[in-house]
Amino acid sequence: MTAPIRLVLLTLVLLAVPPRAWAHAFLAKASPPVGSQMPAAPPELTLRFTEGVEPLFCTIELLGPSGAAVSVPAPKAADDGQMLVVALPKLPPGTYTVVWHVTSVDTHKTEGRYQFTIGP
Amino acid sequence: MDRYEIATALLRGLHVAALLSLFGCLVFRRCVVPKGAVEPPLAAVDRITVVSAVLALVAGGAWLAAVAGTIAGANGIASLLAAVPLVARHTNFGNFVCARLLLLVAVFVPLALQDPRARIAALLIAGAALALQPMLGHIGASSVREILIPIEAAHLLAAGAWLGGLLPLLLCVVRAPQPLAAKLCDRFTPVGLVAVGTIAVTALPQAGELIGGFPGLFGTQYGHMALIKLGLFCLALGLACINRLLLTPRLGSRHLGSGSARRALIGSIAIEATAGLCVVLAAAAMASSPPAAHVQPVWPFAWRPSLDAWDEPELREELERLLIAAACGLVLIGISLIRRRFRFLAAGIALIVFVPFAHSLDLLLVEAFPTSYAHSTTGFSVSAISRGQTLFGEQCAICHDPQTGSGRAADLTASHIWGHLDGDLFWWITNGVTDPEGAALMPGFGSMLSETDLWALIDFIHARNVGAHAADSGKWSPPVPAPATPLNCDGDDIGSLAELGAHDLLVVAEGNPAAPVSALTGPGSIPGAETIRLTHDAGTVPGEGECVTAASTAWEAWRVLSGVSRQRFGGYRAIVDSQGWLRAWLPPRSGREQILAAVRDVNDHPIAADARPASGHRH
Ligand code: HEC
Repeated sequence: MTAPIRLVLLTLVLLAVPPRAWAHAFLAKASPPVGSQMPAAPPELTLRFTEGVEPLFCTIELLGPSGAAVSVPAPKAADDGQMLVVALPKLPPGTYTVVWHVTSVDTHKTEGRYQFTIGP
Repeated sequence: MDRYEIATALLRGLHVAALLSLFGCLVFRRCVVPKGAVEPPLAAVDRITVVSAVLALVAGGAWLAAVAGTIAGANGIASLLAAVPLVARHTNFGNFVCARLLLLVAVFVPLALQDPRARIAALLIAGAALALQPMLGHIGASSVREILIPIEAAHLLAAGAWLGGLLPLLLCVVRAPQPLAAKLCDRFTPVGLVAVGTIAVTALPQAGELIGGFPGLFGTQYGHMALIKLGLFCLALGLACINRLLLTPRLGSRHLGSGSARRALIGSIAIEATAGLCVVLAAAAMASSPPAAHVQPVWPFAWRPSLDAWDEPELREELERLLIAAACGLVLIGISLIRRRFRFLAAGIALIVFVPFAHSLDLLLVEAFPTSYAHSTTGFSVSAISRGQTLFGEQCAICHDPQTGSGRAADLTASHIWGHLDGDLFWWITNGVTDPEGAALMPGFGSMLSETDLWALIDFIHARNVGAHAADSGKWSPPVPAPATPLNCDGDDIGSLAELGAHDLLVVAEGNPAAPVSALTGPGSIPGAETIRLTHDAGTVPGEGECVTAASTAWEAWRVLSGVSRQRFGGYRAIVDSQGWLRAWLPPRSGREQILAAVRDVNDHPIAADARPASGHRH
C-alpha cells in the first residue's frame, strides 16, 4: 500500500469514529485545584464551568482515599450559574477524587473527574 | 447519537419546522397576498396556518418531554412524567420552551378571529415564539450570547419568512387562477430576497462562534452537518432563482406554454420546500451535537494550506510572481464581465497569464495529518510540563538527548520545532516517523501512552526547546505563554497566574540564600509588578500579602523554561507581562535597578496581539 492510500484509509477510519466531545460545559477551574496538594481541606469545593449549568440536574461525588464515597450536600449554583459550590466536611489526609456530572443550560450532559490531595 | 438522541433531534426539527411554517404562512398572508383577495386557495392557506400551529404545539410538548427524560436520566414512563414539571420549572430550557408553548396556545385566539388586524397580532405572537430559539440551543449558552442572540433570532425569522412561505405559495400555484398565481409568485420575490440575504449574513457570525474555521468545518461531525445544511440551502436558493428568473415570467405571459410553466413551477417549489425542510432537520441535528469548536477536529485531507513558504526568501519571490499573475487574471476576468464583446479573448489571456504559475500553488500546501489541527488538552500547565519531563526521560532521551543517550536522532531543541503545529508533533509521536522511502526512523508511542501523556510530552518539548534558547539570551523570542501555575495568595487558591489580573509579574525562584525572595516583596517590591515566590513545595504557606506557587511541579517546570541547571536556578527571576507572556530572565545577582529597567523594557515593547507563540498554545 502506498503512503497516500494508507493515509486516506486511516483518515476514513478516523472519520468513522465520532470525534470525542470535549464537552459542552467543561471544567474551567476548580478549587481545590486539579491535581493540587494542600495541607488542610478548604471549607468548600467550587467548580467553575465554561457554560452555565442547571444545578438541579448536576451531581458532584467525592470519593475518599479508599475509594468510598464521602457524603456531601447537593451542589448550589453561584456566579451567574457557571459555578457549583459544595460544602466540604472535615477531610482527613489522603487523595480524593471529585466526580462531576453536569447538565449545561443548553441541555447537554457532560462529566469528568479529577483528584486533589490533602496532606503535608 | 443514539436512537433516543435521534428521536429527540427529530422532534426538535419537527417542532421548529412547524413553527417556521406558522410564521411563514402569516407573513405570506400579510405581505404576499394582495389586499382584499378572497380566492378559494386563501382559505386553504389559513387551514395550513392552523395545522402548523397545532403541530408546533404538539411536537414542542413532546420535545420538552424527551429532553426532560434525558436531563433527568428517566428510565420509565413514571420517572419521565415526574421529570417534565421539574425541567419545565427549574431549568433555563424548560422555562423558555414553556414560554413558547404558551405563546403558541395564545396564537389560536387571533387565528380564530379571521380578520386582518387579528392576523397581525397572530404574526407578532408567532414571531415572538420563533425568536425564542436562541435560548434553546448552543448560542444561549455561549460566552458571547449578548451579540449572537439577536443574530440567531433574525436568522430564524428570515428562515420562517422564506421557507414557511413555500407551502402556501405551492398551494396557490396549484389551485389559484393563473393571474393570481403569477401575481403571488411576483410578490413573493422581495420577501424571499430579503429573507435569503438575512439568512446568509446572520449565518456567518454563528458559524464563527460554533465552528471556528476550516478544521472544524471539514473535520467534525458538526461541521459536516453544517456543510450538508449549506449544500441544501444552495440547492433551495438555486431553485428559487430558476423559479423567479425563468418560470414566473412564463407563467405570467398569456402565450402558450404557461400551463407547462405552471407544472414546472409546482415541481420546483415542491423540491425547494423539501430541501428547506431538510435544512431545518440538519439544523436540529447540529443543535443536538457538540459544536465543532469544542471537539478535536480530524482533518480529512492529506495536505493543508500554509503560508510558511512566505517566510523563505527564495520561495517568497515565486509566491509574489504567483500573486501578480493571479491579480492580472482577476483584472482580465473583471474586464471580460464588463465588456462582454471581449469576454472570450480576455478569459483566454487570463488563462495564458495564470497557467505557467499555477504549479506554484503547491507552495501554499503542506503535508497534513488527521490530528494536524488537534488542540492540546493540557493548557500548558506546570504539571503537564513536569509529567512530560518524566516521560521524556523514560521514552525519548535515549535517542533525543545528546547528554544521556546516543543522541543521534533529531535535535528537539532546534528552532525549527517552533514551526510545527502541535497537532503535527502529536501525529509523529503517536504514529512514528518514517523516511521518504517509508522506512521507520522512530517508533510510534500512541499504543503505549495516553492522549494526555502525549500532549504533556509536547508541552515539555516546547518548554525545553524555548529554554535552550532563553538560557543564552535571557529572552524568549518568539514569545512563550507563561505556564498555567496554581498559586496560593494570602491563603486563597488561585487556579492560575492568569487570574491575577492584567499587571506584570515577577516570578522569583527560591533556593538561593544569597538572593532571597523576601528582598523583592514588601518595601523592596518592584512598582507595578507583583512578586510571586516560586517554591519547591506545594504546601508552602504564604506570608501576609504574599503569593506562592502551589504545585510541587512548578519550580522544575519553570526551570526547564529557563534552560538553567538545577544548581544555578535558585534566585532566578522571570518577568511575565500583563498579557501573560514570559518575557525575560534575570540572574540572581541582578539588582533592583536592573529589574526596574527590564520591567520598563517589557512594557515599552508589548507583544503584538497577533504574535505567533513559540508553542501552539494561546491564552
Ligand atoms: C529509537 C530512537 C527514538 C526514540 C526512542 C524517539 N525518537 Fe523521536 N525521532 C527519532 C528519529 C530518528 C527521528 C527523525 C529524525 C530526523 O528527521 O532527522 C525522530 C523525530 C522526532 C520528531 C520530529 C522532529 C522534527 O524535527 O521534525 C519528534 C517531535 C520526536 N521525534 C519526538 C519524540 C518523542 C516525544 C519521543 C519519546 C516519546 C521520541 N521522539 C522517541 C528517533 C527516536
